[in-house]
Amino acid sequence: MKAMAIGVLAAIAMASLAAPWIAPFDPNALDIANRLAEFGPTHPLGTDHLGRDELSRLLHGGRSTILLAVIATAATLGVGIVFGAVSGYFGGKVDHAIQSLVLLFQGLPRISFMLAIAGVMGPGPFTLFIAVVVTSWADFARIVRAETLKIREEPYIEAVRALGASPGYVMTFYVVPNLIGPMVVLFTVEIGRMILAIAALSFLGLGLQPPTADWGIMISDSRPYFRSAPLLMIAPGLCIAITTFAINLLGDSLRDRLDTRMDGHPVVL
Amino acid sequence: MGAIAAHIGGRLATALPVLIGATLIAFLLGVIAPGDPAREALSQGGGLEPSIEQLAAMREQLGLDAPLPVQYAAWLGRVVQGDFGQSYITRQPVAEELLRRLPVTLQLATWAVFIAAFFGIGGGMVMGYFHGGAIDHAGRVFSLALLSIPGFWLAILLILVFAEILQVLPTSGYGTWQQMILPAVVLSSSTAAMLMRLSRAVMLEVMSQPYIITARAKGLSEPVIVVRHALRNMLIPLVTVIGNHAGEIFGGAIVVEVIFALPGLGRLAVSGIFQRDYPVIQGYVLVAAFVYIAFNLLIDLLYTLIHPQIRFGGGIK
Amino acid sequence: MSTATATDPLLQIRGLSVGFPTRAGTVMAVDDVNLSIGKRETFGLIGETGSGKSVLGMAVMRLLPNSARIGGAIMLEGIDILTLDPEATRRLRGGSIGLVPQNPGSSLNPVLRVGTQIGEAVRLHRGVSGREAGQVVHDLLDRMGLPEPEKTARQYPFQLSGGMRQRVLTAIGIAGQPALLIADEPTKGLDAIIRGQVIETLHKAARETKASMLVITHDLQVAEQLCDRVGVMYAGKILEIQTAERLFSAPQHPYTKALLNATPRKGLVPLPGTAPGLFDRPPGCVFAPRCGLVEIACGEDQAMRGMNGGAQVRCRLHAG
Repeated sequence: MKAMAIGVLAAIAMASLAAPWIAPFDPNALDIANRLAEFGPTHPLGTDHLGRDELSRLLHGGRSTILLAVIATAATLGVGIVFGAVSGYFGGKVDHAIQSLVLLFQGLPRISFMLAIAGVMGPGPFTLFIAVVVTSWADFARIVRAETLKIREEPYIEAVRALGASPGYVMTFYVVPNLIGPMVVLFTVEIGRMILAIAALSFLGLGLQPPTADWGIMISDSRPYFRSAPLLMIAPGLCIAITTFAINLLGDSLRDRLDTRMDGHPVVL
Repeated sequence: MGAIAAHIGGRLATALPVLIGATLIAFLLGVIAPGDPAREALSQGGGLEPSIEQLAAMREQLGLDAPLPVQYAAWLGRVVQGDFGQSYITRQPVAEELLRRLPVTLQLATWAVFIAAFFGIGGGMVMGYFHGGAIDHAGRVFSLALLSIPGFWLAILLILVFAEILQVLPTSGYGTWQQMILPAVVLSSSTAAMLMRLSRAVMLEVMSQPYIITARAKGLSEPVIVVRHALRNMLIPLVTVIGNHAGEIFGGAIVVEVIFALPGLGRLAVSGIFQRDYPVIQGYVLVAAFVYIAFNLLIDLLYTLIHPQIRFGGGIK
Repeated sequence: MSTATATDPLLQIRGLSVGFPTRAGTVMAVDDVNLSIGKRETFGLIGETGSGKSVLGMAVMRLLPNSARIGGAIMLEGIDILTLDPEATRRLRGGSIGLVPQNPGSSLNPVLRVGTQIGEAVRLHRGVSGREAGQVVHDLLDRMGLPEPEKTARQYPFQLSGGMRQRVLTAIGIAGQPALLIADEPTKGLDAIIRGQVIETLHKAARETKASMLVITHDLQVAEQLCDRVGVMYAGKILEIQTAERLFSAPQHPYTKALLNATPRKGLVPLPGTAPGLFDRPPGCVFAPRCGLVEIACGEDQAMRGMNGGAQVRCRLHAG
């Protein structure tokens, strides 16, 4: 399963990266005369309502969403690591202050605030990025804090501290490297959700903007024609679903490896 | 019974700062929003371009010259009295419009929570009971797939299948229970999938507890053991998670309301965004935060009812 | 009860073996066990953790996981319970055989009232319901020495002390008026005072219900005070069966002797080495690697042999 997931993700990544070279057409080249064309030798998957080549748009369609999801998740993770590690490592007043903030942000309905922040700042990828980081960092910070608390109790941290290392040194070279394992899992698990959230907001017109060849926008564009040309709606959705499914499969196997409790059922003796 | 009051009181005490934080964020959204509220107020009815003097006077009248903390206090005072401002577009009080649409979203969300809880917990219990078997594996793949499908796409697919091809359910609209089925199912899907996976794990955990052996040793039948002995214990962790997930459902309602043309809060917020109707967005955020916090307090109350240790003031752990 | 075999047996275990299939092959938790328990007799099964005694108890309750490979026969009043269908098995559990499980802390359902948990067994096996069942519950609690039975019945497990929970579990065990009561590690993790109460409660429970009892324990004192006869289990096999009195005064098997010498009374002489794990059972006599009297003949498995005075011992020293 895991090998399959990695294979699928590699294929999607390659196709997305190579899209400008392997796509038969410019994804934004209009050909109104040929709109909503069926499959054929020129357009293997037909064309959309503006006569744009469906296959070319599908190949390009993952680039923006996946890139934005990776950047946004990484940035959120970064903010979460800074706040979480500082909170967990130093404890005391700093911890208390950060935890109050975390509690506040966790107590708010995330998607509603994401939408509102992106909406007030005006639709677009950058505002979406900001909205995502602002509304999602708290979850990460809480998990990082818990992990940091665990690491802080390790004997080797005590040993390094006893040698007179500064808190910054211990954090950078001992605490953060030990956070990498759990963070990789967290990153993988979150990025699937992030792709879905970005696609949904792009679908609503609040994320990536037309005429970008994007799976979410393509579904939105093809909605009026979903009876006559259902493939235009089904194909990009399948692309999103397959990408997210592969990521989730991978995240699952990573999580199982790090956290055996999830699946460990004790033998009844 | 005093123990419940104390527990809920404690929860209220932590909910209040969150609520205040939510109002602060909503207020700041209004501050960073482009556009000038004074100009909006003056251009009411679409008259002439207001003069600079008129703008200054209006700004003073609206308190926009005061420092931010003062503005916030004044704004909060109005919000507490139910004055959420006026829509830039319709010139109607935002609070009235929100109140009109709230029941639609609440109805949708309630349906979704129940569908998710029923199928999620039920499915997870079956998977956990037959863990390692074919049902379990199929359930795990199914739940992971459900977590991976974009809700808006699932919505269109379901419309295509049930409304267009089979013609058994209406495409969109609001008013009948048939019109609620597809939106609620779509909205429940990711929460149901998450609950399936979690319930499976919790079921495994609970079924390996010594008290299940005691129950079996009494000669109870498996259905009685699962329902009376396992389910109640499972609900304790699950109920909390459902509360945490209410935000996903409330947020997911935005997309569902747009696709199924339900006149709810989410659709209002989206049109507010496109029309740059900032008071509406602000109002939406406030209501969303309030509903979310209130729902979690309700969940807490439910939690105390199924958890005897809290009910009798034993404290947890 | 002067002999090692029960004269009027209620339970007869013949050639019982329990194996669990694993990736590294089947591990034998219980290996060729023969024993019998007489009517109204209290039989103790002592051994270290991992000796297979609890697995044996679960086998008698038919509570082993489906993956377990079970061989031999367990006859209860002439019927092999290993052949019962699921419906009859449920009537057996709690009805013919009651269980007092280990871990009083976690063996009661935390979200159900004590009365409900006892009442379930009463309704199921005594054919009473409603007020009558409630009366039986109160009666059971009262007989187990719990003060204010009506109040206790309405309480949740977390509101009771460890000793009270143990008594509630005993009440559940005898609620169906079983012919055989199995007490699994009844004193594990309890302090000395509560331990004394538990022994007394179990004794009372067996006497009042006229039930036979199988006491599974690693606590030698419990076995000595409570049991008529005692079997010593080690690495899945029974090495010795004797009356309690004689086992503690004149142990026969080298393992039993070593076990008794390890008690505070006999000066805490530790056993050399460790008990074999499930995966590395030695061939021949399972105790040979730790035995001070090993000879070549110990490399062959020995059968249980009856001795003068009624003891049964599995050791070459007592051969022929």
